[in-house]
Amino acid sequence: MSFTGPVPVSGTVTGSMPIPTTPIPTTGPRYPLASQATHLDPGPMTGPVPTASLAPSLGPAGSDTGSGVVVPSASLPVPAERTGPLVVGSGTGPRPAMGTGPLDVAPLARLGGSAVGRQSGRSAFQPNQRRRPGGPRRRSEPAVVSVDNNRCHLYAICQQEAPSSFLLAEDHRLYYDAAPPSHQMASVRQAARLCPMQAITLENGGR
Amino acid sequence: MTRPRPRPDIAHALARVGWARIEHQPRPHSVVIAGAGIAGLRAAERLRERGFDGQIVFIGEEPHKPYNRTPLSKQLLARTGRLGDLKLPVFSDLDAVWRLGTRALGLDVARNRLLLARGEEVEYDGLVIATGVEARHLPGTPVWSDHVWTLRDMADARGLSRRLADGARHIAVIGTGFIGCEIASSLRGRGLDVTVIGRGNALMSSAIGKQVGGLMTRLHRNNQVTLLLGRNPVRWATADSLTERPRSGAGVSIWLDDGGRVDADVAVVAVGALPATRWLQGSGLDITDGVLTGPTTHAVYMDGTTPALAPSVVAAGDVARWPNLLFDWTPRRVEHWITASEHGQAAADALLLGPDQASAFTPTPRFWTEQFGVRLQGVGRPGLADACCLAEGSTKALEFVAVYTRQGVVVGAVSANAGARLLEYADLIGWPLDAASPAGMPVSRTPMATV
Ligand SMILES: Cc1cc2nc3c(=O)[nH]c(=O)nc-3n(C[C@H](O)[C@H](O)[C@H](O)COP(=O)(O)OP(=O)(O)OC[C@H]3O[C@@H](n4cnc5c(N)ncnc54)[C@H](O)[C@@H]3O)c2cc1C
Ligand code: SF4
Repeated sequence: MSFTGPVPVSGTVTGSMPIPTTPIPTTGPRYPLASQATHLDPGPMTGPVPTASLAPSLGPAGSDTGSGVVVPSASLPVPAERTGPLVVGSGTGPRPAMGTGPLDVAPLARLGGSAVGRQSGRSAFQPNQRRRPGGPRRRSEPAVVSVDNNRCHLYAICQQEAPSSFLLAEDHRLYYDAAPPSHQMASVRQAARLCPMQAITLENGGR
Repeated sequence: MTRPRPRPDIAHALARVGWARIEHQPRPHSVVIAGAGIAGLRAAERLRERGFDGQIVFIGEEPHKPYNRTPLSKQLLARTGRLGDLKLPVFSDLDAVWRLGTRALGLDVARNRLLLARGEEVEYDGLVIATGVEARHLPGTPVWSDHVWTLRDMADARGLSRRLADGARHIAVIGTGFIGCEIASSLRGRGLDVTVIGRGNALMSSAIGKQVGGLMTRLHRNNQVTLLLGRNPVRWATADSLTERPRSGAGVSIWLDDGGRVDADVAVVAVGALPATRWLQGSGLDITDGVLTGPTTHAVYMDGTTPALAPSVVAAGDVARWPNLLFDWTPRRVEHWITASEHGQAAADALLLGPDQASAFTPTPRFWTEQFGVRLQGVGRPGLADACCLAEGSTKALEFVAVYTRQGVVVGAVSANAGARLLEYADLIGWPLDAASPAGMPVSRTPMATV
């Protein structure tokens, strides 16, 4: 038996325009890409991915943006060189290009509390203002979220699901909030569910 | 309906109870989930999250509780992972009845019953159909042979691994989809010789287009995978066959339609999948290429001659064919793990809310694959596109984002080793790729060169 007529409609969805599935983020630009227009390589697009292109959407780099922002010190704690299974198979063929920096994850909480120094004018990590509407980061809570450095392959699904708790920065490292506020836990749980590498662990199921 | 104003006397108290009875909608007491995969698991989890306190019964054919299938062709086959990596996190107490190793054999929509072996019937108030897909075979393939495998579940992975550990040196992979390519990459990483046989001219081209597919083809070739593209197997011989055995002492011989022959120790057939809907034949559900559902995931069944939505039957995951209104009204299946998880959650919500109140399930499909260290990731439906252009990065360095359009409208994007950058492009789906678009799109329109 085959059904070829129109699908019976129920509910209120009509029309053929795209239906936005994600809530529109606060008051910032609807299309974050627009703010990067000038930073995209205008040439024949053969150079490396422009490393500065995310910066404008992350809020003013030079201004001290207040208590909600964690600014890394000049000496970021650099996690150990990754030793995980992300090894290119064949020894003989040309090794495909990987991200330049070490593939790393670092809990945000560990970056917090440190000094407010800057790295050569532009910090390696600028928390995304638009995506970070919460109040000051609480520093005392115990870590409930951890990301396995050896498993995470930087797919950034976690950032899509919980943008205020995960950030895959331009330095090819994943920064995350090890103790997210309770109202973020639902989306952090969803991030842990959907992470392709199942690299995110939540202490007591995130409760 | 206006209620009489309550007055403190017994007659009115009784009347109130009567009203409450009339208004009370009995909630489903028992939800049966057919298929204990990721979609079924996430449906159950969501039911509990929403406070559903009835019974949840899983009917699962495999002897295992739900596990993560995606490492089977990657870490598990490459031997960089462990069995424990297949574990899935669950964040609420499911308190479910697990009928594992049990196959659903039929469905009686009118009587709300699922049919099992030995004439057993399971009554449900809500049914989630999440039986996924089965590996497809090519006609004439000796599927019974110990030298010919498919890869869909843990049993396949175990059997194939055992076979490979038995001194296999040369493996033939038939099929150039994601799974075939991942198998090639994983086995090549173990130093085995791999030949990939496929109909198309570029790897994975039906999913990611011939341009990016072409880049991946080059990657495989550079890693010494032997590619026999544009060819089909026409004849098989296996060492354990009674009629036709390979002459060369190989485990399996495959003759191709160009006259060539491939001798290998093991062949893996990865030519796509078919929805596991045979058990639904005669149920009244539309099962042409998967269980057809409306936008809310409620199944479509034939009520006499008119199609209607079954309020107590939803379908989720690889098995479901539904119109994703993010793109259009054409019902399609999606075989992505993340989408299957979200689909299960949406189906659970739809079951609790009913077809009138549930909202349409309009996910942005997301997928990933990793081959020879290149992390390829996609959003949307790049397979629907008629054009593809490089948005940023360098194809030479295999670090780029490509945007896919259909009639000028963005339908998807694929990134290689640039997952974080892909995020921004997901928002463009449904908008024209044009500088004058409402999005003020800055994406370059350089068409991507075919490699
Ligand atoms: C090797 C492999 C690698 C993959 N890699 C990726 C990847 O990298 N990225 C990605 O996005 N997707 C990937 N996928 C696809 C992804 O795994 C699927 O999209 C996902 O598993 C679909 O989930 P599901 O719950 O719909 O179906 P399934 O996970 O297939 O679960 C269905 C379950 O129902 C059972 N069943 C079937 N018929 C019956 C019946 N009649 N009665 C009872 N039970 C029944 C089946 O045995 C099965 O256990 C991969 C798939 C495979 C096989
Ligand atoms: S989704 Fe998982 S693999 Fe991807 S960046 Fe986040 S933690 Fe890493």
